[in-house]
Amino acid sequence: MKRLRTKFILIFILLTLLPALPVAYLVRYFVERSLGIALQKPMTEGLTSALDLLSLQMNAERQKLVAQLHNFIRNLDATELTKWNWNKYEPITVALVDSSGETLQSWPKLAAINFEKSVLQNLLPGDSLVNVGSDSVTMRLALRLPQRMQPAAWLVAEQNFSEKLQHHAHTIINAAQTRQYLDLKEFELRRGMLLAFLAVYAPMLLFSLGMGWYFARRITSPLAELARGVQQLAAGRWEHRVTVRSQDEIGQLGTAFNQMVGDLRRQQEQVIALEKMAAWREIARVLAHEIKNPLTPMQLMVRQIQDEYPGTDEAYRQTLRECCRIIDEEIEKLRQLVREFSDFARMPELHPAPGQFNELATEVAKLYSQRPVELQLDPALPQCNFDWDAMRRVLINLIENAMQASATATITLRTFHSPNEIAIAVEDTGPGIPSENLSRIFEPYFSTKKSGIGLGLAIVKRIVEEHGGTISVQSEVGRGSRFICKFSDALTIADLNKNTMGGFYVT
Amino acid sequence: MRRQINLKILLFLLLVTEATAQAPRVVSLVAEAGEQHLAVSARLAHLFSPKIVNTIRSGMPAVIRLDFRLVAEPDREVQRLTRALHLSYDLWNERYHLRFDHREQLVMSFAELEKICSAFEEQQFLPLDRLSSQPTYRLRLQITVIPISAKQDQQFRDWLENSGATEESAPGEERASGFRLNLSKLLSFFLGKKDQPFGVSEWAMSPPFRLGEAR
Repeated sequence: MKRLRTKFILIFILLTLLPALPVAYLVRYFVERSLGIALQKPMTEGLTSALDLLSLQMNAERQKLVAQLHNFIRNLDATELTKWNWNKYEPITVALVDSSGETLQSWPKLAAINFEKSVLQNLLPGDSLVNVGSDSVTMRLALRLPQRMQPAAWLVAEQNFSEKLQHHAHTIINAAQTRQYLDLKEFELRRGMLLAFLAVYAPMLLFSLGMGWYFARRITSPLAELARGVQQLAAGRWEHRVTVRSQDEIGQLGTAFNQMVGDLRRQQEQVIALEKMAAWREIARVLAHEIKNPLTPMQLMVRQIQDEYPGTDEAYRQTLRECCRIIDEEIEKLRQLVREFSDFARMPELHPAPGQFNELATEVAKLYSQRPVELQLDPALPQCNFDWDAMRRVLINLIENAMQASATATITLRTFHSPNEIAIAVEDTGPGIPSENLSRIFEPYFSTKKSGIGLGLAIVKRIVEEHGGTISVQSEVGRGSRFICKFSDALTIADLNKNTMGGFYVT
Repeated sequence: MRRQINLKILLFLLLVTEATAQAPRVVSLVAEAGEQHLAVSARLAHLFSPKIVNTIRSGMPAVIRLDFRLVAEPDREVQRLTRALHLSYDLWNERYHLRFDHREQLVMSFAELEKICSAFEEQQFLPLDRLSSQPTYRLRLQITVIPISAKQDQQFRDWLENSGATEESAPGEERASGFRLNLSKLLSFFLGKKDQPFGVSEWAMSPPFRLGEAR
């Protein structure tokens, strides 16, 4: 069974893994593709070109500023510094600085340019251009002034890049840096994506495993219990039943198994009872045969002894007559015993005919005029088929049993019916039957009476069962007993004929 | 099957060979005891792979970390020292910026930068008065190139996470149950440690030297 469970779990794992494999392949494919697209050569070249273009554009803007600075210097030659019309160059902030980097004058006035003084090298020739700390927003350039401009040594200018260029620069540099990041982290990204996939997938796999185990257990446990049940059955433990936990197909299987075990047990008990009965009947038949045959010669011999006594001794004759009478009586008792054995061993064939239990009960009750039998009859009792004489014997046996048990007990004959059964019961208020005897009272040769041989109830049981019915007894010591004969109304005449025994059916 | 395994081994060896070929290398390492300080000179090679060059040129700062171990013979570590060269490219002024131990330097070309970085020299590397003159020493060096700093890395992780949250309305982002799964954060979590080195050299060892000889 464990192997079946293992198979189920493996199937669940396979069902989980199989769809995951193409998904994993697709994920890997798309990861490779997306990284490949980001890192492919045209993209790299495109970004490099964009950076170059950005550089060119910035240089172009720088050249424009340089041109304006040259223009500024030319104008500076022609006019007084103080008269310089700086409004013409309003977007530009310019400053004249000396060789140490100190600002001499600025346009607009008091404007401060935050430039890198350390890069100013005074040995550079005139018109030399130096970048003095540009950034993403502003370009800052210093132009070396000619000697005639002393003490001013450098003209420093500051101008913002156009907003559009700033935006483009920001975007291009971001893209380039991101691309470089991806390039450097390519392996880690791949690994990270794989691990992220596993992190999402692993719990699902675990969940699926758990579900697989749960369902496998749920399916195989009842089967395992059934297998155990069969083993118990094989070991002869007929009381074993499986626990039915559901109403599904497996539950129905369990219910059917339990029902089958119950039926088998009942049938087995019936077979045992029938075998036992057959054995007793065989014994009875042999006994009857062996005892009955010598009885008649014995009786004749006894009479002959008595009749042919030639003597005149009257006392001896009297004694002889008395002895012969006793022997004759005992032979008669033996003949009665043999008759009972014969009856038990060779039950006459049943001849069922439509009849009424109420009529039978009334007829039997009339037999006991000295000790009345009460009648409680069901007026709606249906008619049924039964062997009148056999059932009459059943009732007489039961009534006489009750009478022998107690001389004062009230005896009642009662009939009743339910939708599927009709029943006739003999009840008495006698001393009752001890519980230890209840299970044996229908066995042949079991009797608690000194005079009986214990065949009466065995014959009753046999007649009832040959009619397809059942007989049961309820008894309480000191309060009385009740023998109930129940007959199913499902039996038909065909059933009766097939079984070659008696039976009942409702007409 | 056997052939597949062999091919895999070959592929692995190729990858290892390639990785080894591109890894930074200490060509020479010399430590000399001067008057008062230990002087160190080292020649380094393969510091800048094309990927690192491109990274620096895109404006991202990089660090070359030099890990020194002063070892007394036979194998007792006496001191650990770490030096870091911070490199960056100023896109707007088109020059390279080099910072080492509070000293800064501007260079106009990458070749110049590489030349400076490849020749490490420090006359006052370690005061000798801290060391005993008896044993024989060796100096060990390992170079680590870190093209992306922890700060930069965090910025990119933030960008990864935010791009996942804003640009993708992928399944799993927001659920009616209130369960929220940010796949980008999950990816970021598995990206590995920050400040991850990109290239690490083998440990190089200087010839043995004694302090007493020079004093």
